[in-house]
Amino acid sequence: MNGNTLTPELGRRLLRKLREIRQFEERIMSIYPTDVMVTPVHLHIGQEAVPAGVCDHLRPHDVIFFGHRTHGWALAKGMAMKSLMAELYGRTTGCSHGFGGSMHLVDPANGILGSSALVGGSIALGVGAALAAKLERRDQFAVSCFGDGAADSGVFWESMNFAALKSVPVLFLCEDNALSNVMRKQDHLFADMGAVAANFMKVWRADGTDVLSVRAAAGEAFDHIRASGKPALLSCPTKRWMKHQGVEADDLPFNPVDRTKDCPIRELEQEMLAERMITQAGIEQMAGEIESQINAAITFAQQSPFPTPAMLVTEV
Amino acid sequence: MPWSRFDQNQTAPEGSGRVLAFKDAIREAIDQAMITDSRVFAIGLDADDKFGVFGSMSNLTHPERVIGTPISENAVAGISLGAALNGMRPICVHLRVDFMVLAMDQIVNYIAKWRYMTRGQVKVPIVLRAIIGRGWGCGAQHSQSLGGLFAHIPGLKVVMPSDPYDAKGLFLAAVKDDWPVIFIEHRRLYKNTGAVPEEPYILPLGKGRIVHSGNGLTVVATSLAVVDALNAITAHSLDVELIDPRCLKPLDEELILASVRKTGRLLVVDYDFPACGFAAEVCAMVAEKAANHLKRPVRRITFPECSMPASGVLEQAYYPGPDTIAACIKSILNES
Repeated sequence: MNGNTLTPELGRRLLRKLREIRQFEERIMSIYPTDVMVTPVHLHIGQEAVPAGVCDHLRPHDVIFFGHRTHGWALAKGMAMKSLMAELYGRTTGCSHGFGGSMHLVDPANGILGSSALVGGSIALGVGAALAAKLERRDQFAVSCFGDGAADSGVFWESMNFAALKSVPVLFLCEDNALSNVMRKQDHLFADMGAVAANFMKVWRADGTDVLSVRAAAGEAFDHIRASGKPALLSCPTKRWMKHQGVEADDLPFNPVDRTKDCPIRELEQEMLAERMITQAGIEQMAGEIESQINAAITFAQQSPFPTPAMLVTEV
Repeated sequence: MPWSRFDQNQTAPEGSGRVLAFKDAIREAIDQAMITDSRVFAIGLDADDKFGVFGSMSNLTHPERVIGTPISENAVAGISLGAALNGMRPICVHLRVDFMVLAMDQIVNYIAKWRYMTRGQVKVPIVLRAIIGRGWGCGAQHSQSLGGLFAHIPGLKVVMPSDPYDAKGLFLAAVKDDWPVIFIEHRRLYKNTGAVPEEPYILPLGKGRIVHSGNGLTVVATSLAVVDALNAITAHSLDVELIDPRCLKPLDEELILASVRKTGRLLVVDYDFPACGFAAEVCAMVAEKAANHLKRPVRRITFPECSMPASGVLEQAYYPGPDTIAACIKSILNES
């Protein structure tokens, strides 16, 4: 896989992705109370390093399946911001033409073949996509993204067992925020998921608040998958800053967030500044460009038409 | 698309022709689908068993495209969906309909909804095969039909063939279809024989057929009930029009309505649970669209409102058959 030495080019690319996700989500926080977006949102703030680090290895035709926390994955995988924004606004120009909402995104050209709100089930879809790649001997990665809550579900263990038994080259990617909605991990999962998974396949662990750590481990896992044709699991402990759903900061007593220490953006920026790969002005310029991108996406969404009732009973 | 060459309007062969058993017609359809299209593969618990899924998958040309699985129906349905979204055409096999219920999360929440949620931007070409068991004390968890349960969900087509010719043409249509199809086969039909063309052919999903013409009563039946109803009609020389819709959904409403407008009477025979079921749906459809043609109230023959028993004596009481159907038809014809 690509080298993991931090270069100015790599740093800027990753920082751009982290910031796109963060700033997009922060804009939702300011807009959401005005009810222009009538769709439940599960914000990615705090967890940006996981999608940014993993997707940096993926090409458009590589496929990922993810759960209800969609925005970071979609943006990291290459979905156009205006397409995502218009979907949140419920417009026909949205990625799912206003029929999906925040939780059901699709962008076939970028390897997003649909997404599911229900926890767990889409893990199997990634295995199936990888099986297709295997059967057709394609050069194509498939990733099943899920949280630690999904590790409680039967379909997770069924999928791991199947992938291991049949040598299906899929990456199981756990975005482990140690929370299942408002439950802490020790209350919902008895054993250490990665330790048990290691009986089925090779397991990597990365710091899910550090994009370089995630990227390095994902690169090794993809190398292993490509070389062996076998599945792998990458576990990325991370921090959910926001409530499970909605635009408020999380206040669970067992989910303390240190917004300095636990911030993937700050971490990368500090390193790049120290290495003189970027200046503070450069960071501000990047942030400004992203704000313009978001503004354009909002204008695009606002000017787009709503679906009509005549479309209701179509594509059934 | 290699499938376009099968798009001929094939009619059932008359009289002599090559005769195949129902299970062999299904087998031939699967074999020809796999030969036609390298994206077709079969997957499921015991899909690769030594019995060839009751003979319906024996001696395939491409056994390497048959994947046996652990007892993981829910994940396997999801794996089939993922493979379908990524360009394959999976046939997901269940030796009993009852086992397919373990995959309800994937079938109802994912497979059925994917087209609608994505506005059809990704195709979902999946066939979910399931076989109905019955008799020999199979009991409550190995004998269910459940066609109506699946037909209730928007986004699923439900096919229930009754003879070998239909089975082959409908199966190939199901594999060819770009959207999910539930294909339910009755095990009791497996040894029934009929003329089946050797070449591949497609029967359109949603188009029924008139099995027997008549004027006194319209009988709508599916799967094994078609065979039982035809036996009842011919044994007693009853003046009945027997319709096999072939698909619970999409339903060939016009075929049924045209017949009811002629006969003025309707009986639906559906070997499934009664409440909110297929028989109720057909009755409601006719009541909505042809009530003024009905001379008598609509009637249903279904299972009783209970699960399947094991003891042979109770099975005898549980299952309707040609005698039940004949008696019901006669009582309807004698009314008025």
